Amino acid sequence: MTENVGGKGSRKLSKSLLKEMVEILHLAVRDEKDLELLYQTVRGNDAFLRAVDMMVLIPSDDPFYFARYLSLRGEGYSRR
Amino acid sequence: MREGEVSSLELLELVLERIEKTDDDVKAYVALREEKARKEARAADEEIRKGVDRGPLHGLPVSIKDLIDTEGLRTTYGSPIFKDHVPKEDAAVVVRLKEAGAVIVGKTNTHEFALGGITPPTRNPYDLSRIPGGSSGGSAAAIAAGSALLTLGSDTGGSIRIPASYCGVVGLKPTYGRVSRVGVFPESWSLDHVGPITRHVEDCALLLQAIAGYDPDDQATVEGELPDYTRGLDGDVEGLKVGVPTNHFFDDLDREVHAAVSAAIKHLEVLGMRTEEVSFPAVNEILGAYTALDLAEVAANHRRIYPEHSHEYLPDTKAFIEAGYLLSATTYIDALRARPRLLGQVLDATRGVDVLAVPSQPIVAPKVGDTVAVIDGHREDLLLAMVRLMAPFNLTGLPALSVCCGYNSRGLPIGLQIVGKPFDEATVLRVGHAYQISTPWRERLYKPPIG
Repeated sequence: MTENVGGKGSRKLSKSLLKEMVEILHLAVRDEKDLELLYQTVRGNDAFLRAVDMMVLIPSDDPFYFARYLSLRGEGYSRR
Repeated sequence: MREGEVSSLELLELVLERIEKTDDDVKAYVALREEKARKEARAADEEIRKGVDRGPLHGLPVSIKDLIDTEGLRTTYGSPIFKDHVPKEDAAVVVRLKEAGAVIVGKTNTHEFALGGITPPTRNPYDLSRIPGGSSGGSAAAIAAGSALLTLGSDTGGSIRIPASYCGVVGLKPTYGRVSRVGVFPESWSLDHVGPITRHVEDCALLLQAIAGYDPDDQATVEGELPDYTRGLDGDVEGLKVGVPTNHFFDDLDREVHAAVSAAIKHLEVLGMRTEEVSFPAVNEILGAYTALDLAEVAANHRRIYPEHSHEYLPDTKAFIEAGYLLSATTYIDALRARPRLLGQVLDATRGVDVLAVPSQPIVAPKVGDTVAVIDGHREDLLLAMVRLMAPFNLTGLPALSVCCGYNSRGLPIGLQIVGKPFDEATVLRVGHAYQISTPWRERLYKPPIG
């Protein structure tokens, strides 16, 4: 069983850290207004992304099963 | 048309007249093909006179969202970067419409690259100081203004259903894999859907019939015979079970929206359906997985255009893309892995009901320039407010229809969302049709408030 450890960066994100990331990644955000908009966007999404981080996934959680379950109307899905 | 009461050309001229009368105010259209459409309408009339029948769409005018490629007709994806872009081929859905005899009128406005819910500069025909919603805002506004009879939109986080709700019209996001996305500028390949926006549920069924089906060039589409969506519309709804979630979907709603949607659900009971409370599982995980997939795939889709053209993007679109570049790869992978499990949880929780009934939007159409939704004193980012009741059905791929269920005290439309089982659009349409023909809201659509 593996625990997801990704995506935690945005949780402790400060505006100055974001500014540094923008510079390191050569993002196109240049003025304070754009930076503020990006900061609010990242913060707004953070609470939802945190829920994904907290999920404990197992090897059989396989993206390729999505279309199969959908076309089988969920039949054959093994409950966990 | 079959009985010779009206011709394809006359219908087209009515639509063009209506565009002329309303579009300076509503700004639903970005490109028109009047002369080519007239030529095609005359050809359709000639075919019909000779007894050639290509089906129920034969000779009917259809308008297409500007995110969807149309051969020889300027397609900008809502961006100045593509202001002179003229596709060499039609999108798969446009090919299917043309094969069914539809006459393509023009292109309706989209939020830039479909990455938002505002759709500037289009305005809401119910109140020109308000937005139509988006990203398929041009299609919904054209239907509400009477400047289109039938339209296509696309939906990655509500982009068909949000404007359908704000403009008081009908919008269907089909099941993921029901309709090909080939030739549609991608937002997020895991979440993108193409579907109809129309005045009546019957029209939605007609359009779906024409555009649905397997496409070998879109690996998400599924093989198999399609049901007859129009034939089933008048089927019995008595005894159908309607699930009403006790969590999430009725939280933080505008009071008038809550009242209208609750009354609509009572009306479903009057029609003989049985309502049942259900608990919708893993809402935060679903919204989290949705957010991760959307942000990451948007950033990936724009990575070849954005670096050179970032100054030509709208500020909110820029923030969307930049946020995607900051997302960690592990979160994206985990969201992909979590998706089938989350679908399974939703199907398990709703196994005992035929459809779900929930609000389409927590609010009515916001004012132009609003960035925050204020709901009973609680402030919420406008885009998040628009997406939170919609995105669960993009992540799970379930079919979802928005139909008008009344108006608030200012005369602004409110939407009811009906959600079905995978690939069971037929039941969703049947319930929507039964609701629409038994309520007075549909009549208001014949009296557009502008023009």
